[in-house]
Amino acid sequence: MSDYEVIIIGAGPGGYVAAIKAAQHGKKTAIIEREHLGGICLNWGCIPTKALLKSAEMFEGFKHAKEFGLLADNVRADFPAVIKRSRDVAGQMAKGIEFLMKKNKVTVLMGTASFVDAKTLAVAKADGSSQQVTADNIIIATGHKPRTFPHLPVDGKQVVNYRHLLGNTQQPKSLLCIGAGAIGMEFGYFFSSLGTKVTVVEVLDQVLPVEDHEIAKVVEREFTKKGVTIKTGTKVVKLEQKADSVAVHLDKDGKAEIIEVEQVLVAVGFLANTESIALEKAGVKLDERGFIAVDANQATNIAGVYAIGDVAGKQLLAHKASFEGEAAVGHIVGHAQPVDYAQIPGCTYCQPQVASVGLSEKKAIAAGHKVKIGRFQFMASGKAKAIGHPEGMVKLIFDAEFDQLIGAHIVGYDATELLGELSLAMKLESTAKEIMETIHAHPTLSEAVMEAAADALGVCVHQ
Amino acid sequence: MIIEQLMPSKSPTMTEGTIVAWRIKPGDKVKVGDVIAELQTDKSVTEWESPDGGICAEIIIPAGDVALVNQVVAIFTTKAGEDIKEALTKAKAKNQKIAASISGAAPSVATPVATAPIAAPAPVAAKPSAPAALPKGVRISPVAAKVAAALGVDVRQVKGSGPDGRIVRRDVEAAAKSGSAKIGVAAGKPTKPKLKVLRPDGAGADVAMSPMRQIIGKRLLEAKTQIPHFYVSESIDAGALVAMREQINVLEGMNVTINDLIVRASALALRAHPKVNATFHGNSIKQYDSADISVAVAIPDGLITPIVTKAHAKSVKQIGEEVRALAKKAVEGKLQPAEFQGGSFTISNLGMFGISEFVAIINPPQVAILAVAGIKDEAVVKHGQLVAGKVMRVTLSADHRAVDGADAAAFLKTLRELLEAPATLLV
Repeated sequence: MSDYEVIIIGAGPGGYVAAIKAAQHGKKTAIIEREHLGGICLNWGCIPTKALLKSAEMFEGFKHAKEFGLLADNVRADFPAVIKRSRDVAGQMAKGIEFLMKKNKVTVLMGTASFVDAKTLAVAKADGSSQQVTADNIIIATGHKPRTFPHLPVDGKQVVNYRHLLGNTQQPKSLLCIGAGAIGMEFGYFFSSLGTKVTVVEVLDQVLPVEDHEIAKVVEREFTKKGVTIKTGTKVVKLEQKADSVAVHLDKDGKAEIIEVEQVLVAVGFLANTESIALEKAGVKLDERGFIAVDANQATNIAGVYAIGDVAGKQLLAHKASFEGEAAVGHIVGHAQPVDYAQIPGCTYCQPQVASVGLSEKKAIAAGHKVKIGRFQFMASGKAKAIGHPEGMVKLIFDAEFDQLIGAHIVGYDATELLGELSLAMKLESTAKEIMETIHAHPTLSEAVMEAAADALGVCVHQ
Repeated sequence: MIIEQLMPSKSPTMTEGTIVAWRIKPGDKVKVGDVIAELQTDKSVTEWESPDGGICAEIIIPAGDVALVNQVVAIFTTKAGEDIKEALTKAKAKNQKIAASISGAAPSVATPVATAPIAAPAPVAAKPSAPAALPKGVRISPVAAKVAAALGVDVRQVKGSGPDGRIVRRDVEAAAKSGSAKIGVAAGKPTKPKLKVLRPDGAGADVAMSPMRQIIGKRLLEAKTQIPHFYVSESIDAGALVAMREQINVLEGMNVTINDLIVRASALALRAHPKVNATFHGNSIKQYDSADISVAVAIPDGLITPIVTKAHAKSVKQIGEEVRALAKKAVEGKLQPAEFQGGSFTISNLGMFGISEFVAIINPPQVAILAVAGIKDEAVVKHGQLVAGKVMRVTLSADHRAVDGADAAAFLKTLRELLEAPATLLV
């Protein structure tokens, strides 16, 4: 008999949720973690960055205090204290996970796991000892690591990845972010708000390349207004490290440019964390991009071995990992519930924030939909005006045949908190009519959602 | 590079806007997000932030004037001193086209700013249509309800696959496809498409022969003129066949067609009649042990005959899956030569068009082809009684150099006996 019915490798948002779900189904469960409970999300990603961004946002607020009739002179950022608060928040969250594991009777094994065979794992502990455990089912949730490129050598000081930045003790005077995805844009916003001269370079032709083009344009405009230099359609050719700066060689349509900055953030691409777990001993196959190949139930090619979250590819999102964890456990206990990838929301937490679920306008058209689009500008929302954030819009995309909601995009203040109802609307197969006819409280930013649905039907009230 | 600045649409009802004031002039450098003008829309005066950066080269619509939404109001360039002559002509032509497209809504030249809001034409999508009244107690998503109304599906008969059995879109679409939950004519709208035959006169057309049509023409001309065809027809009582198909398709995942059953029956019959399962080569005839059946598939601008090899050794389910996979490949043009060259016998089925009967041209070097017509409700005599029955006519075209009338008749007799006792197709 095996030691455990389910073992999960990696205690990030995919792994620990899978562990709790397995335990709730009465399975004898263990989780192996080599560093911190909570994984990247709680320790180096989602949560600590949100803490940083809140500091930046409050600082922005003080800058505009006068517009609100408040006098706040001589407000400065204490950079090390800002970083410390972020680390403290992360620390508290990790403790919370420890409690959840205990409450659900999940055994936590601290150490580095590697396969001995498809049912056996060796756990190498920090004190040099090692232990072998067996399980009927093993869920791999080892996450990702930032991808490195030969021409962008990361040294952790001048050229860094997001993880180095979270431990920065000094605020750089200037920062260049390579990649205008969520990470590049969030750190760009954070450092720019605190007074760093920020440049964001993106090889594709818009910032936030996975988002709707119209939404991305709003973010680009707001960043530009804030003083961030945005360079889209631009390649980084090489980095030239000098004593106290880095010369970044850029190329836009054959036109060369060199920008000297104090620090460079490399935020382009990810790789699966698979190198230390000896996958080959279990015979688990990777896909052509180096992520673990799985089917709709997260099962790998080896029976009883599953993979979830970043290590299984697709979007690198904590909530996607959690739901894949549920799908894997569901398959183990006989209630398969594959993840619907068309309904995974994506959020970026710079201000204005960006939140979306479903198809962008261009993708909807490319997928053959005849679309009906509803827009509502926060400019016309009383609440947005009152709180001093009239920037941004709600853009809803419906399939014209039955008015089914197929894409929802919000850019604006705290947009990420507004998306939930649209994810629900999409899950419930709502049409523009139900969204429009749902009574939204006044005055709230969420009224913009209702108005955008009405706009799609040509009956908008306040625009 | 030339960048046209178009009159933006600030609201869904806005059709035109007045430039109250320009905040920029030719020669100014403009950054993304700079306010470039104040606009009077049908609702209010708003600031217009530039969506693009560049250098203002020319202002086309002066302050105080009105422009329709999407008309070019200014031209920016990315570099100073770019030639904009061509761009100006293009912009003016574009503006005229937009003005012409909105009949009766040509912009007044200098509307004073303070006029009352313009009564905008009603937006196109007036009132959202009311959904069809739903039977009480049916849990169904809004989209699924609309799809059901459009496709004439009775939602009371649909089984839901959503959370806790809620009916979602895919359930309604599946029900519509299988025809299992059609609303009666009285309840729903008739969904039969109208015949589109009445139309104004037009010109004829000269259509060039595609390479495929040329090959079809050449091969069939040879076949029809060189092969001494003869034809033998038979009526088959398909009542049991239709009933059995329905029984098989009760199983989840099964979607057997009449054609799959005919391929299977033909394969078995061919094994009993090797003279029909043959190819003709001038001085010799090659008889086959394996029934490798070519199935005629219509593809855009022609037809092709992919082959179900060893059909005698395959189940009805396997045959069906194979035929559909081959047909899909055929339509997509992805068939490999090995998948359509060869074959020992051909079936051409026009049953889906409901036709009564037809004869087919032999696909050389094969020596026979079976033409399958639709299944018709007809009066038949059974045990001396006139009863309602289902009749399917099949016609075998055979090459008299290889097959004699008696051979063809014997083959058809076997085929009929198999199809009229369809359980034989399942062993």
